[in-house]
Amino acid sequence: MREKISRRSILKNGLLGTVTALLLRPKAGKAHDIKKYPDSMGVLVDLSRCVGCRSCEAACRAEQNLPEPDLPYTDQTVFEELEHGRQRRTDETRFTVVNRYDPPDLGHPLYRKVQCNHCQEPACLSSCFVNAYTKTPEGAVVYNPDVCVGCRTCMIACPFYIPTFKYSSAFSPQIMKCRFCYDTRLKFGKPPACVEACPQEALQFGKRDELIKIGRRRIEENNGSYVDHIYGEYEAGGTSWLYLSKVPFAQAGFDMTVPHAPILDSVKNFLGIVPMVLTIWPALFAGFHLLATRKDQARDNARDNSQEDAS
Amino acid sequence: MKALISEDIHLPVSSSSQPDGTLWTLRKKLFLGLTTRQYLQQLRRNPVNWLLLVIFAVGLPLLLQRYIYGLGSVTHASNDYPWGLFLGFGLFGMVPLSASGFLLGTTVTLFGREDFHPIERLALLNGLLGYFFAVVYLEVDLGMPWRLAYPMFVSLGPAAVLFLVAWHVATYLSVQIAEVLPALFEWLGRPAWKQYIKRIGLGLTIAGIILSTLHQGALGALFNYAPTKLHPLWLSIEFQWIHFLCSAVFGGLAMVIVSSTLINRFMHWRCGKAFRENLERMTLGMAKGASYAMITYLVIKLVAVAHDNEWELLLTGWGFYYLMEIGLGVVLPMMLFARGVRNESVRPVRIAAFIAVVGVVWNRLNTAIFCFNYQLYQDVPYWKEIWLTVTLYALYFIVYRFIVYRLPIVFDWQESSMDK
Amino acid sequence: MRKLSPTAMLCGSILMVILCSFTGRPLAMEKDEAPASVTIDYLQELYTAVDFDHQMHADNYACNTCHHHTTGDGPANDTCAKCHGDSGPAGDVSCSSCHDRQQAASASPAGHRHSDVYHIDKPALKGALHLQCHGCHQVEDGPTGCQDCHAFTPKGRKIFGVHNNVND
Repeated sequence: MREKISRRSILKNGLLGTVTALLLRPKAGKAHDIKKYPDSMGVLVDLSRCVGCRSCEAACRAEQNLPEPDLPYTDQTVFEELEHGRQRRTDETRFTVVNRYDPPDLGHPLYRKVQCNHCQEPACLSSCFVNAYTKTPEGAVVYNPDVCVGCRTCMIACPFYIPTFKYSSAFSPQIMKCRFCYDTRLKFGKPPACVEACPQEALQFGKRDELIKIGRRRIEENNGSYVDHIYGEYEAGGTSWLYLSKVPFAQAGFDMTVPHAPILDSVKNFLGIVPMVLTIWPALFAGFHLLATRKDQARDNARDNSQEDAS
Repeated sequence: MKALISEDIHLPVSSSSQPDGTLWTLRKKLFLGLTTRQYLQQLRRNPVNWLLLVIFAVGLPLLLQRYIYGLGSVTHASNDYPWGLFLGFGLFGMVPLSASGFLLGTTVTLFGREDFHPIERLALLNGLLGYFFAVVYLEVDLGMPWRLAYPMFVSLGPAAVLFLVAWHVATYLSVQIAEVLPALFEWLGRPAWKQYIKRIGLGLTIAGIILSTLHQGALGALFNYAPTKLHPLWLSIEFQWIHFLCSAVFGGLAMVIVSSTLINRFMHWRCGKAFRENLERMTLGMAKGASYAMITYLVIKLVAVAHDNEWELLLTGWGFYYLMEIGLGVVLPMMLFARGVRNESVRPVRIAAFIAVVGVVWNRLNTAIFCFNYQLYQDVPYWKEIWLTVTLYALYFIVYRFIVYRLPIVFDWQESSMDK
Repeated sequence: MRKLSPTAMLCGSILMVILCSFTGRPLAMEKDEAPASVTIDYLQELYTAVDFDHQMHADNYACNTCHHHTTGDGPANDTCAKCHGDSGPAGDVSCSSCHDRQQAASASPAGHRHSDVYHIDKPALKGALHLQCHGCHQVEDGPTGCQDCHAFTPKGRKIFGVHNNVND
């Protein structure tokens, strides 16, 4: 039954495998070399200043033309809202939300604004297989709905649970998330709408590098009343939005398990094996094939030789 | 069907020409050589078809609803659980069970184990259909299914793991189509066309190994993107891709055992001599391979726990669930496999294969859904999502059966019926 | 270095305190010079102007509670006191004389002068007013709701989605 396999066919097949490998190789590629833009902007959030007025939420809705919520922004009962035991989160109708926390030793409520942190090396960007995300030199992580396939891997990858999906639409669904007001403001050097709306200056807009200096200074000058950490300086490889707090960050709902390395780092070792498999496997398995079928080949050769001798 | 075959020894169609020497028409071949009345009769007689009808009666309107009103109308539309059953089961579950194609292809073509030849085509078909339906599930799940080809041709994100999955699954799907084409050519009465495929057979097989290694692994590595969300026992940054690849090996083999068992039992009339006579031996052979893969898997799982020093997690509720998954889904079938191989009895092997298939799917569901967001809350999929998943699986079943009924998958095609 | 006796040190300290009180105090502004009411109306976009009862606040709190060191009282904050312990009253004590209307996008030291180095984290006017008022109101049980101090403008009502009830 077996088709006799000549050395030439082995070569040919091995070559096919290698060609396949080479054709596929470029796409295995290296990890994005995301440039750290030195002049990228950011926002420093001082949790101790936020009073939960939700002006930022209102401003965001107006700026981004999002649907009006059922309850006015003056309604404080939203802080009691729980879904699956969790406080409000961003979704396709709101790119930012403020939640209330009651840290045990504080004596008064603490508020925390949630929005896209605009990572330095965004997990959404590095996990996207159609390059729908861009980190702009200004610091914003923006999304392009025109190429998005709707696989929602970015939602899996984002350690901050930020990208949301417009599930309600069958014909033009897309990822909905804070875009740092890139098109309307950031591009022109203006702070995002939420920052401008904040009465307490709990949000401060500026160059990320300088915001870190300000944050450090505020920690130093306030005699130990701040936690000695700027959340976002290193988290997930660093974020453009940075946070200061006077109570441990975990008590304000921050995920302290987010690694300091970019999320991309945890897939790098897999991406590293790809070129290896692509280049070594063809030769390796062609070799296995030769070894495994050696006896048959030897027998066939012997028979051929004896036939030649006979003739 | 059985009753009809006993009436006519030339049924079912398994050759290019009729008893009188003329060629079967395509229509006749499609109807298995039966008259339309007979064909409908056997359809009606089969209780499975009635079950399928019930599934589709509800499922097809749901499918329509999904495409008109959006994903949100048939799922929980969760932003915390962006991947539900369509991917959790359809992609992450179906793909490892479809590793059968590359495994048997490697065994027969690459290692020259001709003794597994009678089951090779079933394994290849099982692989092809599994991948094809993984794509079907994907088409239901994707927000913009009409942009399926975007990652290939329109906007490329080559550094993403999913890019690898997309390209490799697409390429491998073509490889598998090429591998199954000879069966179609025989059925179409164009045996000469096979030669082209045969010449690149080894190349296809090696391409299959490369692509399978990478995309089975890549499916695991996709979860490396969520180091804070997936429970550490189900996520090992270093070993995730090996876990997925290794479990796909026994998953794929177990799936062929299950599939061949069902075919041998419920479609015995369709099985050829070589298939019937060699099935038990091949089943035991595959069981042996599967049990080796399982012990390897268990060792690497253990290494992963040790590497990340997660021993104390085993004592938590999650740890108990983890041990349950490993115990029931891997250790139990492994022991049954070993027992079956030692005693040369296929019964425990077949039970084990069924359990192993469920075990692999269970692991993938745990990874994608149940142990995802372990720090938040557990999401139970909406009933419509479950029903749609079942509907698509029913469709997979129908296509699978349709092909096995007709193409020379589990029997050898004769050029003329006289060879019978 | 020559060792000072404890008595000498004590005398010196007393002398310094006296000197300070003579150089600092008389220069401080008098409370009755202050306006009885201040209308804060520089920004009326979402909210109407605030009529601030300056008299009531001045009657109950020291000037430096709000005015830092600019009224010549000497700052309440230790950090500020390092430089402004005796810097005397400023020419203009209004909030807007120091606090800019626009939040500075850059907050790095602009140069090497002390004022550049030490006032780089200075809030803009809106932030300064709210931080000062709201912060104190929380501690002193003053009104803390947004509309307790300033009512919505029609635009504000629209932005905040307030439609039905005027008292919302």
